[in-house]
Amino acid sequence: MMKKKWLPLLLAAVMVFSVGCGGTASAPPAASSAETASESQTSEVSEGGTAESTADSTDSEAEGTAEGSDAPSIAGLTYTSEMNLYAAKEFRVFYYEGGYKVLDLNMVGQFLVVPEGGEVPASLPKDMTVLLQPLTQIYLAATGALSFYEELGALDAVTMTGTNTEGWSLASAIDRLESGALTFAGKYSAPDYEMLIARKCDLALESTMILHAPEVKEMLEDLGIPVLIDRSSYELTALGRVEWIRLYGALMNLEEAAEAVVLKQKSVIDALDDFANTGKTVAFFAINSNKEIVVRRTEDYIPNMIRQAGGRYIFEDLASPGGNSASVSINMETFYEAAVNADYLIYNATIQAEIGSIQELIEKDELFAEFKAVREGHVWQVGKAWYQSTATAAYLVPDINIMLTDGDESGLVFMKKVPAA
Amino acid sequence: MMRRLKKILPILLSASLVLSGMTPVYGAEALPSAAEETGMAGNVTDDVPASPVWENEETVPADVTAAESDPEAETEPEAVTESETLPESDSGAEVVVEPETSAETESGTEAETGAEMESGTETESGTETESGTAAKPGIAPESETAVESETAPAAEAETTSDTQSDKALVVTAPEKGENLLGEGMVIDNTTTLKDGTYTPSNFVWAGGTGRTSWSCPSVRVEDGKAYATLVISSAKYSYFKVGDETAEAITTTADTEAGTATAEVPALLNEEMTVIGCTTAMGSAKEIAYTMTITVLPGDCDAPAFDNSTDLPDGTYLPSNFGWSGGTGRTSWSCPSVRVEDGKAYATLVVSSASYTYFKVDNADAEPIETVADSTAKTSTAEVPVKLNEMMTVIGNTEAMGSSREISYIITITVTEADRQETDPVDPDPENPDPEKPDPGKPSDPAERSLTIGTQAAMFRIVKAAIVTQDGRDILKIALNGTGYEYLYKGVKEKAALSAAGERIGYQLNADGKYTFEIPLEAGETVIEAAALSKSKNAWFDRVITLDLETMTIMSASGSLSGDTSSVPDGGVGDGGSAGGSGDTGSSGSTSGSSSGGQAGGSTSSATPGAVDNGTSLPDGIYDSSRFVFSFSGGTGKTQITCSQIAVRGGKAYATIHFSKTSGGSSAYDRLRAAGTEYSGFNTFDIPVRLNANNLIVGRTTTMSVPHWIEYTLYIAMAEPGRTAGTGIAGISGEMDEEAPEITGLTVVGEKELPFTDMVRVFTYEDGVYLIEVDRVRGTLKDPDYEPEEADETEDSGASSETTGAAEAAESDSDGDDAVVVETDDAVENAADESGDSAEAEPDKTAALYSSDIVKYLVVPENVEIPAGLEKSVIVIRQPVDRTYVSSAAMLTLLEELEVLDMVGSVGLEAEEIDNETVREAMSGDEPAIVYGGAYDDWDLRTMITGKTNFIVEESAILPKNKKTEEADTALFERLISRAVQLETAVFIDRSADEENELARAEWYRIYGIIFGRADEGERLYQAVVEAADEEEIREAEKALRNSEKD
Repeated sequence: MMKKKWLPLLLAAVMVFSVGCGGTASAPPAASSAETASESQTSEVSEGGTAESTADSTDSEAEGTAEGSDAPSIAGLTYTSEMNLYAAKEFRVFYYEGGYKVLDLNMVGQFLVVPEGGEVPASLPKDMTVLLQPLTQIYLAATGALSFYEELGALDAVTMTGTNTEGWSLASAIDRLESGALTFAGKYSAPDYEMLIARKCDLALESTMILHAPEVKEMLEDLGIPVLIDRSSYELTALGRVEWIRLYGALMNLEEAAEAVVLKQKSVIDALDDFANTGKTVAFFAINSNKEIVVRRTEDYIPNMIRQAGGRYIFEDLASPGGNSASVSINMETFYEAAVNADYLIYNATIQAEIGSIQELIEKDELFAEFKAVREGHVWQVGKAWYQSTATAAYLVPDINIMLTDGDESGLVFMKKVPAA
Repeated sequence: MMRRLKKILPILLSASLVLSGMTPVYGAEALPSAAEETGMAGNVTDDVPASPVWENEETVPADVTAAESDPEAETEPEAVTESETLPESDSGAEVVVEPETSAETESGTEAETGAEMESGTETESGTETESGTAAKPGIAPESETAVESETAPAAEAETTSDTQSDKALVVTAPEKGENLLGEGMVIDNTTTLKDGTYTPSNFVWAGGTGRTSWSCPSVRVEDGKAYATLVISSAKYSYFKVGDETAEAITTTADTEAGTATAEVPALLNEEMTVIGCTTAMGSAKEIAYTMTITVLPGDCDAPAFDNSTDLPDGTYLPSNFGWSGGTGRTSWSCPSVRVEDGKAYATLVVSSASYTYFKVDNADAEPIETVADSTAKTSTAEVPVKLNEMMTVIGNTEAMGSSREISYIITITVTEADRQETDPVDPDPENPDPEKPDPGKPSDPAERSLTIGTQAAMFRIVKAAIVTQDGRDILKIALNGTGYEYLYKGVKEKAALSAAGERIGYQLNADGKYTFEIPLEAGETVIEAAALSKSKNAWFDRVITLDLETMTIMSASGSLSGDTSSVPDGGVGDGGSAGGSGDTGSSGSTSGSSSGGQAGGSTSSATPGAVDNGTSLPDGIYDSSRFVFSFSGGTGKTQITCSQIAVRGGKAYATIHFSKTSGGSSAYDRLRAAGTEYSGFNTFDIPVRLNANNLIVGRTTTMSVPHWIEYTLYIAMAEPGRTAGTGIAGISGEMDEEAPEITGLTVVGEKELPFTDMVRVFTYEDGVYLIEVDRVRGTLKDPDYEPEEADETEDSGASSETTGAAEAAESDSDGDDAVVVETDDAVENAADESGDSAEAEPDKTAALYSSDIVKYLVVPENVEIPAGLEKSVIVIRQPVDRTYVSSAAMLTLLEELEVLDMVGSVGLEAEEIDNETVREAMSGDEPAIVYGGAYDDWDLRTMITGKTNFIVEESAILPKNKKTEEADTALFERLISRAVQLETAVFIDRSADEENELARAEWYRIYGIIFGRADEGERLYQAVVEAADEEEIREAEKALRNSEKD
C-alpha cells in the first residue's frame, strides 16, 4: 500500500527539492521521506537554475522567518504559517500577518498577494511579482484553471479568456462567452493588449504554452499585468492536481471552500486505500491526427490514478523520449505489443472526438479487433468534460475503480463504457 | 507470436488504411453533403446531367453487323425466318412499313435496327425512341410500336437472340474460368440486356441421369454478350459444352469439398439451350446432355456495369476542375487529360506514388487496370473509363505497404465542351503568343454597364457600381467604401441571420482594396432589400439599394424599407461558426492587424470569399513555378502554402496550391473556401485565382478535434500580355540596393537621388509606394570604420538608466532560456497553434527584418493593395501615420517644419523638457493632443496602446555606439523591436541626427515628407537649404560623402 503511493511522491518531491534549497525543508507531512531522497537526485526534470522556486539561503536568516522555514523573508512582513498541503508538490503558500501571502510556484516564481488596501512593501525579494487583491479582471489563457474558479464560485473574477467558444467544453465557459460575462481577448500568443488595458486586467493566468512565446510574457509584464503560470498539470497525482484549487483559493481569499473541495475527493480516494489491487491491466490512450497512439508515460498522474483505483498501467517503464512531456506518441505496433492483452482500454477522448462504439475504434485501426479488451467489450472512454474539469479530476479514480470492479455505473462521473456498436 | 504478428501487421495495417480510407474523415454523410455543397468538383453540381442514356454502341458493331447481315450464314432455317420477322417486333414500325426488305436492306436496317433495338429496349429513356423516330422521319407509328415492344420485353429479347443466332460473332473471351471461345461457338449469346450482373429470376433444367442437379447463380452481360455461371452438383464434371457436342469444351473448376463443378459459359437467355457436361465419374469420360432455360429479365440486374458514356464530342479535353478525396492523405491525385472516343470518356489519372500497381473503377469487382509507374516523378498513371461531372469511385492498389492494399477514393472530373483541345497543351512563350489566338488584352468581360453613384447612406456607402449580364442574368456589382461588412444577403436581416453560408454573398477585393459584392438581380428589379453582416458586431443590418435604370444611378439607404434600423445577431452558420470576436460588447478591438493577415487565433473565420474574376490574357497552358512568383500571408506561420503551377484554361487562371507545415510534414486541410465555392481535397487544391492581385482564401484544418477555418491571402505575380507587373524576382536583399529592386506586385518608377547622404536611399514605385532603405550600422559599433568616442555626445540622456533597463532586458531574455519548456496537457492551447504538436512558436519574421544592417521600409498609401506575404520581406509603413510616437526633440522640430505635428500622438520627452511652444501647448489641458509616451528607451506601452500608436520614430541613440553600453544597447534595441512588433507598429530609425552637415540633414526632410504624406513640402524644405548653402558648403558636403564612400 505504501509502496504504491511512495514512488510518485518521492519523485515529485525530488523535483521540488533538488533545486538546491539552503535550509532544511519543513515539508508537507506526506512527503517526509523526500528529504533523504533529495540527495539522490534521480529526477528526470532538468532544473532551471533560477533562484525562483524556493528561498535563497541569503534570505532565510532575515527577520520575520520562523526557524527552519522556507518562507521568504520580506521586510515589514511577519511570517505566520504555511499552507498544509495534502498532495500538491508544485506550489506552496506562505502566510504573513495582515492578510499577506506568498505563493511560491515551482519553476515559475514567487507572487506576493497584497490584501485590498494594503501597502506594497518597499523592498521585495528579487523577481517577486505583486498581486493586488481583489483580483477581478483575470485574463485566463489556461483553460484547465477555469474549473477551479467554477468550483470556488468565483467565475465572476475571470472576465477575459484566451480560448474562444469552440475550444471550451465547460458549459459555464460557453454560457458566459455567449452572455458576454466572459470575453475572448485573443489567444495566449496574441492577446488583445488594447482590451486588457482598457479592462484593467489585473492578472494573466497562463498555461506553460506562454513559455513558447516569451515576448508576449515580457510584453504583459511590461504593461504591468502580472503573469502567473498554472502548472497543475505537472502534479503526478490526481489529488495533487486538484489541490491547485487551494492556490487559487489563496488568491481569491476562498481558502476554506477550496480545501473543502479537496477533502471531498481525498476521502473518496482514501476510501480506496485498502482496496487490493485487482492486477488487471489498463491501457489509457488517444489516437492523434497522425494516427499515432498517444499514451502517458509511466510516471504520470493518470497511470497513478489507475494504480490508486486498483489497476495496473500497461507500461511499466515508459519514459518520454527527450523532454518532459507527459504524453508519448508511439506507433500502433508498439502499442499493440503492450496493450493487446490488456484487460481494459480507456480511450482518451479529451482531445479528439469521442467514439460512439467499439466498432468505431476498430474502424480507426483494424488491429483493435484483436485486442482482448475489445473482444471482451471492456472498452471505456473519458470525455472532453474531464479534461477541463480540473477541480474535480480526482473523481476519475473511483470511476476507474467502478470499471475494474463492474461497479454501479450510475456512480460514474467522467467515464463511460463504450457500446459495441 | 511476434513473427506472426510481424507478418500480419503489414496486412492489418494496410487493411486499416483501407478501412480508414473508406471511412471518410468527414463522416459517411460527407459525400452526399459534399455534393450538396457543391464541394467536390468545385462546380455547382446541380448541373449533373440526367442519368446518362445507355448507348453502348459496341453492342452491335456496325462492321460486324454488316458482315453478319447475311441471313444465310450458318443458321437454322427457323432463325432465318425469324430474322426476317425479327426487325418487326424490335423496331416495330420499320418492318411494318417495309415488309419486303431484302437481306441487304435488312442488314442496313439492322444496323440501324441495332440502334433502334436499343431504343426499343430503352424505352425508359424516351429519348432513344425519339432518335429512332428521327432515323425514320415521318413514321409516327414507330413510337407506338416502340411502346408495344416495351410491353413484351421477353418476347423481344427472345427474338433478339434469335435474330442473331445466325451470326457467328467473335466474342471477347471472358477472363473467368479459363474459357477459350471463338470458333467452336455454337450458340449466339448476344443479348439486348444492359451490361452488368444479373440474378436469374428462373432457371429450369432437365436431362441427365437424375443423380446430378444444376444451378445458375448469376449471369453476366458484357458488351452485349451473356455468360452464365453454371454449377453442377458433382465435382467430377471436367467440362461443359454449350449448344452441341461440336462446341468448344469449357473447363470447369471443381470444388471437391462442396462437390461441385463450376464454369462460366456463354448462354442463351430466356430460351432453351443444350449444355453438355462431361463426367469422369464413371471411369472414362462421358458426355451427358442437358437442356436448360435461364430466365433473366432486365429487372434482375444486380449491378449495372460502369457506364462511361458522355455527350461530349470525341476529342481530348483538359479538365477545368478535378477534385478528389479519400485515402490516408499520403497520396494525391491529378487528372491531366480526358479523352472521349466513340462517346465514351476515359481519363488519365495520376496518383502521387509509384507503388500503385493498378486502378479499379467504381467498385472492387471491376477489372484492374494496370498502371505505368514513374519512379523519378513518383507517380503511377493509367487511363481509365470515367464518368464526367459527377462523383465516382476509383480504387488504387498500392504495394507500398509490403502487401497489396486497395484504397478507395472519390473523384470528380469536371469537363465541358469548352475544355476541348485540338492538340496537347504546350507551354507557350508569352513573348510569342499563339498567333491563331487573338490576344484579347483584358479578359473579355460580359457587358458591364456602370452606374452613377447617387445618394448614399453613411453606413453603406457604395463607391462603384455596375450591372453585368452573365448567362442572361443581371448581376449588380457594388464596391463599398468601408470594410466593415463581411457578407451581404439578398433579403431581410431576420432571414439573413438564419441563412446558410452558401446563401450569403461574400466579398472580393478589388484593385482599390475595396470590398466588392455581386448581387443577382431579377428582371426589372430596382429596389433591392439587402442585409449586411457587420464584422465587429456580428449582427445583420437592413439596407436598401435603389436603382434608377433610366439615369443609371444607384442609391443606398440604411435600415429596412419600413425604416427599421435595428440589427439581428448572426444566428450562426454551422461549420463556419460565428465570426471570431467578442459577444456583445462589439469592440473586438483586436490589434491583430489586417495587413499581416493574422487572426486573433483560437477563433475560426466565417469568411466566404466571393467569386473571383480569374480572366487573364495569358495564353492557355500550364505554367510552372519558374513563370510566376507566389507569396501568401495569414495563419500563425506554422503552415506554409506553395503553388506548384498556374494553369490557364479558356482564358481563366487556376492555381494548384499545397498546404504543409513550415517545419516540414503534412498539414490537414480538407476544405477550402475560395472564389465563391467550397472545395474538398487534402492539402492540395486547384482554384481560380486572380493574377497579380490578392486572393482571399479560407482553409479548414482538421488537426484539432474542432475544425478551424483559417484565412490566408495569396498573391501570384505573373507577367501578362499588356501588363507590366513586376515579376520573376521577388525580394529585397539585405544590402543597400544599387537600383530599385523588383518587388513582386509592384512597378518600379525609379530612384530618388539623394545627393548628400548615403545613410538612406529611396526608390519609388507606382501608386505612391516608396522603398526607404536606412543604414543601421554606419556610425555605430557595428560599422567597421567607426571609431567610438569616449563620451557619447548624442542625446542619450540616462545612459545609466539604460544599463538597468538593458540588464533587465538581458535577464528577462535569459529567464526565457532557463525556464524549462515542456509540453503540457494543455491540449487546447497546443491545438490552437494550428498543429497537433506544441512546437516552438515561430519567432516573428518582422522582428528579424530589423536586424539586418540595412533596414528596409515600404511606405504604402492608405488604399493601395500590396501583395500578400510582402510583409515578410519588408517593414510596411501604412499611411497615414497619424498617431506617431516621436522620441527626440529634434524630430519634433523637423515635423513641425513639415507641418505634420498633428500627426504626432506621443513624444519621448516630458512637457517640461520640451522647448517647442507648440508642442507644449498640445501637451497641456484636459485632452492633450500629444502625450508623454515614455522615453526613447523606456516606452510607456500602455500609453502607446491606448493611444493606438501606429508609427514610431526612434532616435539613433538606440544603436550601439559606445563600447561600454554595447550589450545593453543591443538588448534594449531587441526588446523595443519585440514590443513594437507585437503592437504591429513600424519603428523608423532616424539617422538625421547622425548626418555630419546641414545638407545631408536636409535630405531627411524629403524622407519624412514622403512618410508623413507631405512629399512636396519635404522637397521645398530641402531645396531651401540647398539654395541657401554656398558652393563651399556644397563641396564639403559632397566630399564628406565621397570620403565616407571611400571607406
